[in-house]
Amino acid sequence: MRSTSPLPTVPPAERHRGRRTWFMLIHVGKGLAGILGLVLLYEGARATGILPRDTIPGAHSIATTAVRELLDGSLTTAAGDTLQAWVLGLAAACAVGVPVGMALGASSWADSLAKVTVEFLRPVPAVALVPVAVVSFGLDIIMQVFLVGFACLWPVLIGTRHGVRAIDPLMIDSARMLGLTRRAVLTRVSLPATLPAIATGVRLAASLGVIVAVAAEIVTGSPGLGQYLTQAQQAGDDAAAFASVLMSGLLGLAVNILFVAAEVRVAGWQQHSTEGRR
Amino acid sequence: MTMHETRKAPPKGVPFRPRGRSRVRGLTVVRAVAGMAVFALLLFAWELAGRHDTTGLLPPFSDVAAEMAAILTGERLTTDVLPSVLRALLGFALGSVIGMTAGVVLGWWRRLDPWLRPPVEFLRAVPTPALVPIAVVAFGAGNALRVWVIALGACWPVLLNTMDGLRRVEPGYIDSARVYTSGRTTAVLGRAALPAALPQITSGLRIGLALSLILMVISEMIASSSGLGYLILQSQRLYALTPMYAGVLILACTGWLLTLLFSAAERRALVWFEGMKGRNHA
Repeated sequence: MRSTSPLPTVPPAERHRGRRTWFMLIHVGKGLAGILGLVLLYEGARATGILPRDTIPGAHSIATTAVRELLDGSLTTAAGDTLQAWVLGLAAACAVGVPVGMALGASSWADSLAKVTVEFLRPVPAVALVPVAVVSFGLDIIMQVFLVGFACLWPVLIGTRHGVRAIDPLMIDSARMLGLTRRAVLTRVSLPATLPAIATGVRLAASLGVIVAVAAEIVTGSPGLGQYLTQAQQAGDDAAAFASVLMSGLLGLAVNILFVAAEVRVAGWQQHSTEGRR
Repeated sequence: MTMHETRKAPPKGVPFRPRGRSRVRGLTVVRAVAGMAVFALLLFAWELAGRHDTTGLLPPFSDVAAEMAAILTGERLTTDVLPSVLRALLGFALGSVIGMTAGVVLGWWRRLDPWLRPPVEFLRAVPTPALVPIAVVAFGAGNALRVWVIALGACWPVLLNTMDGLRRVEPGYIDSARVYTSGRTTAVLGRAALPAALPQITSGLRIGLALSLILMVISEMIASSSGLGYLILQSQRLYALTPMYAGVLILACTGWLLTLLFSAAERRALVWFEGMKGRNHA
């Protein structure tokens, strides 16, 4: 997505427009062929018995079940529930992570004070807190929001902190010298300069959030795609179970495309970061 | 270190150290102690809250710590804790190897990209925890399955970052390597491209490690009868809150220790990069 497109560069002249659409079509065609290859690989693994046929349904029945359940609303509701927990959790993580990250990046004393606590809490796998969250919040959506929020907090916080750290001190000094108040430096220099790092952190957090939301639903049975999956499985409806996996994959894909696009918009001017992808 | 400090050029012959390391040593110690004091204060607050808690939902920290010591010295260490950690590490190692291999293929032979990008983007977007219940039904819940699930989850960030990292290697490095080595793909990759992509590969590995731990816990919470994830979930269902918190604390310590080890290894492997970072932006 962010990599250089393998398309040859076509001059934007009018007479080349037809060729460009042709190249685009070939590009899309290759992608569709890739997806088709994946489906064939899956069917091949079923046919040869690598994947057991009795519990793993065929691609056709998964697709028809997915469409049917989407239309009758049961899968749509489940996806909506997961989406809700994810959005609220991510929003909460940003609301806490961005200001705290900026404070830790700007003040080395604040950073030293919080260091041990952050270093200890950050590697805690969010799903390990599922039982704690259930005991404290019950099976409501609050529980899911807490878990998603905890998981999303760290990439956002650490990304913001790194972003503030990486600001060239010269920019701050220049702004101060030009008579900006500390508050103005924060909102007009530090924040815009940190935005790319924040965007990267939020993108990492967003895809982690989907994983944690689905995991929490599977373990606790609170409503969402994870719960839909376990219920379908208990009812012996393997096609529906796979339909929900397909749906969660599409949801994750949509989240990714959205955030990569947003990041390019917000931070397209900036050089690539080494913060990593996920 | 304030933000207003101007950067001084490092003296000749001395490796460049990032800002903040050159601080007076005494102050660094004071700061480290202050950080630990804040953490201790939080634990103390937990202890107080637990002592005065009337709902019975929050056992005091001292009880939890005692329970944790009992678990770590008792037989659960060999039945639950160590197997869990071993599975996570095995899965992480397996996933890293798979991810790096696939990442090199996808990152180096760019013609494959339009064909393979869409299926890869879909597969990596599937939340791995959703595959656990399905895999348990299809293949049965064994040790091997859990390791494979962890590997499957951990491989994606490694794959994507290896791929991206390789593509972003400065073309000049690769051209030079073509001239100065035998020019074979293995030589160019091994001598120039992979080392240059290493910083990004390690950030992928770091994310993979965090995911391995999440998947370890999840795989033990579903259809399992042992492991740390099983321990905490079972304790919660029995309403045994002290062992539950002790299990969470053990998991936290495990994650903390593994991350610490990883960071140490990363620092060793990327000594040269620390110096580069400052110079690139100068």
